[in-house]
Amino acid sequence: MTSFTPYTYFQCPCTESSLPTHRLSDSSPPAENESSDDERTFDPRAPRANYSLYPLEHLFYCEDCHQIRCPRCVLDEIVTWYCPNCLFEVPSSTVKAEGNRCTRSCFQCPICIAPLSVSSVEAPPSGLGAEIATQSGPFVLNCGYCSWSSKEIGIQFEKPNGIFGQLAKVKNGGGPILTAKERRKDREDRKRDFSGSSVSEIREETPEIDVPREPLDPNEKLDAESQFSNLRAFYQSQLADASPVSALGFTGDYGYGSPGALSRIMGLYTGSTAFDKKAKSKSGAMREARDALEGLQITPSSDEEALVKLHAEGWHTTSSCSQRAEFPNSQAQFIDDLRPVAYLLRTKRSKRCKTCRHILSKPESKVQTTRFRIRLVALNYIPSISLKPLSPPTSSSSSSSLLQPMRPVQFLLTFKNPLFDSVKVTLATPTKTPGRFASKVTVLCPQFEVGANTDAWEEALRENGSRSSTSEKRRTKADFLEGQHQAEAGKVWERGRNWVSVVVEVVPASLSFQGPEFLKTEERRQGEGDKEVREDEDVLEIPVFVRVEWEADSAHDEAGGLGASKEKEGKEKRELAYWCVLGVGRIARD
Amino acid sequence: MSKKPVKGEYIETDTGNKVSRRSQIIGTTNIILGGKTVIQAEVIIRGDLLRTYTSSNPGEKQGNPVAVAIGRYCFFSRGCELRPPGKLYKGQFSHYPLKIADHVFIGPGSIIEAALIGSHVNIGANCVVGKFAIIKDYVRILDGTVVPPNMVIPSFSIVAGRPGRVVGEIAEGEVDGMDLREVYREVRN
Amino acid sequence: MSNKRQSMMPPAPKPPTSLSSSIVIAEHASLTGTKLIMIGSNTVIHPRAKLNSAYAPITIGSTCIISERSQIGILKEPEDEEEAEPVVIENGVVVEVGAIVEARRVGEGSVIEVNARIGKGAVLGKHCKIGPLCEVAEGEVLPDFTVIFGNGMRRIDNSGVEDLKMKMVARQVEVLRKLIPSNIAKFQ
Repeated sequence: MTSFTPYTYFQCPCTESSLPTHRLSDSSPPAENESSDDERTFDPRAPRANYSLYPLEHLFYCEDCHQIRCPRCVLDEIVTWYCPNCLFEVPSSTVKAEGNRCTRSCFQCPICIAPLSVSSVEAPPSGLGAEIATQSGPFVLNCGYCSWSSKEIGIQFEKPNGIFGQLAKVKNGGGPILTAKERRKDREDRKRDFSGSSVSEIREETPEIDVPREPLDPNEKLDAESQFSNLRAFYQSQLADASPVSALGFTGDYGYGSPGALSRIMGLYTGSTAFDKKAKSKSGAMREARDALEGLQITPSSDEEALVKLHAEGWHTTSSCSQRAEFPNSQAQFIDDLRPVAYLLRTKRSKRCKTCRHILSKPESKVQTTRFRIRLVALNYIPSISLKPLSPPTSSSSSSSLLQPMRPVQFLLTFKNPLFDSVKVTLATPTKTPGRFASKVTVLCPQFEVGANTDAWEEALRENGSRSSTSEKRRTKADFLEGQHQAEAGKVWERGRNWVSVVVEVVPASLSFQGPEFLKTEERRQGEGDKEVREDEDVLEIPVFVRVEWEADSAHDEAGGLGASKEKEGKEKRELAYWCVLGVGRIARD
Repeated sequence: MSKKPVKGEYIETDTGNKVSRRSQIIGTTNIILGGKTVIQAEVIIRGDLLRTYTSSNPGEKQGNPVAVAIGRYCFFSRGCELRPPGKLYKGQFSHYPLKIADHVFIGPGSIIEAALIGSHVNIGANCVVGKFAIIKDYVRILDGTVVPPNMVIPSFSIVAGRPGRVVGEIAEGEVDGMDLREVYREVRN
Repeated sequence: MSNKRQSMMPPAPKPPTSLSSSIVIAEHASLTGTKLIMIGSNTVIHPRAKLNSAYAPITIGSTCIISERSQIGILKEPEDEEEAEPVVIENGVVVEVGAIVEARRVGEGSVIEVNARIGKGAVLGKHCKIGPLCEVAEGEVLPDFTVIFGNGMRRIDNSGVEDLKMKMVARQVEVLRKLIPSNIAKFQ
């Protein structure tokens, strides 16, 4: 069994905090589980719970709403785009124009995704003056992890920089790829050719049979880029031809935005509008692309070619699913169809509260800095909770890390206050944990005050001045060591400058299904048929409802107050309540 | 091991470094420790793998050679190794310095051949960080990761896998927890 | 420090060795065992590298680099005497930090990366590369140019730069010769 580290998760209130769990809302009679509104328990095992529980570090705090905010209830806004490999910032205009990949020389290995580096194929110069001589080409991209090299797909480069541009012009095997510009020019040339010879054929919708035009192979294999641009050009011209601009507001582009076009499209579906007729008359003029020039690519009806290749070269020359996934637009069935993958860009993002649009986090825009201009993390606003066993595990047996069923254990819950004001904390737990195996939980001191997070110097001075508090602390500890069960109900266990520890007593449930009848919950009796302990069902999780109250200076943080009418003089009372889940440990199976 | 510690496990230097007596540090004169750094038992630091490539640029300063430079509040767990990476450059093979900034934690058994590790970096147990990797600030590398050679890991990344890839981001609230001062204070002889 | 501790131990019997005079062997390398250890010319043995010939002889070719904490040789006593096949490492092999090599043969120009493991009786072809933390099972035979990486994925390297790599190892050896003080006398 792996070791277990206790954890605390906080529930973000954005997901209806007091939603009754599906188990409690089951058809069981209300008398049985005494469910009034106050008795509703948060069930950490409910399928939805996963989506609302976060470690404190992942949460924000909105100063305007006075509420916890989780990654699901914030809005992300991109501040900067950058390449994760060369760490160069990419302006958003470039991202729009070139796509969200690095256009310098940053590539990932198509085989194993490790970074590729540029190196010369030639042996490095040696001997006298070697350090002055520059590396001469040709250059290749190499993977330092799996030793793949772009030489394997027949690609070499003349220069060691600007690889993205160079790669865009080379096919696997070394043939040239037309650039967008060249493609357009080429297409226009061909069209001129084409319209001369076969306009009549188009009109008559007769299949074209091998028109002998040398550069215009209608079955030409196109790469994804040129296919797309051919298709686009073709449909654009179709749209322009088919619909006179005046009638439907098409302007050569797709034009779905105009109301006329929209109602025409709607008409296609409803089928009984005035537009119906018009649409029908139009559809005659529209047709699909039908050769490579227009962007049609016929998938070979049989995979004969691939089969032959597979036969000759074997299974290991085929690419894997994850490798193909890097090339969404091509059927890279074989490893030699793969190409180096340009690095996807990464972003720096600021975060806003979804409710009030207040900024919660804003990083500096420069890629290399790690500072934040604004960072309202929950860590600085709500008390953190840490959990540890009260008595260190004494027995040396391996099972000591497991909780023994039916044997009471005490845990120390430590609340640490990050605020500059002292806070009043009230805890509530269900007496029995929800789920099929109900453990008994008692918080010995459910109400206490945690001191303010004042200057550390103050504490040092105070501790020097009056030793009474520390000696008191020691006494309680000593008490504990002498006569075991000295954790008193209603009393704080230990207290520091801005933290307080209280004791929680837990009686872990037995994981066997033959427990004493009085310990069985309703669900357990119902689920008697299912006698397997499900995954992680042996983890003892305690839902705790935490209410924090404090008095804050209302003036300083209400500057931009969004019309909040709380501008009272001096102190303002604040309250925050949320569910937490304490992961205590695994229960031993017996 | 009859004559074992009457003295403590660690030798504490003037600048507060705590170096285990059982660490295996080679080429000590070429290693810079910024202070308050903990080096546990069986850690190997290869200070002897110096840079031998002499730049043709004569203006370059000829100070003390440095193979490994380490900042403050770093923690090197038992059995990890720091090794300056080497490569062929302009026809000459040479090692290049391994630079580590502040608050860097390296887990037990991990082998580091990076060129640069930024501040607040946490590397788990039994990782391999490949030659000339560059790890920026606030990065967590999970246990058993193999960071491939030459990889650059940008700030606020969580990296795992073989080969390592970015699997997540460090949340805004986690940043404070990556400070190692507390960890340093807890190391006692 | 720990070198003191080592000298306190009763001196282990030195294994019979046949070491080329041009090798570089660090003082803190360890050669143990009872069978013959042969090391060819221009090979570098880093400090804390362990060669153990207790159960089978070890032969290392020329221009190899054996890094720190790597372990060469059969580690466990074989069940029957004949099983212990000698460990042969051919020329130009690089064994990186912490790798364990119990192979019957490691082909020329192979690279065994950090913390990789080559099982007993395995045979690696020429110019293989076993990635970091990867394993080769006992008795496995790998063809030339095999690359093992990731979680045991394999491929054949067709890049054809093996000569370049061999040259690089030679250059690296030249540099290490300057950096690592050799103490052959201790092991002869």
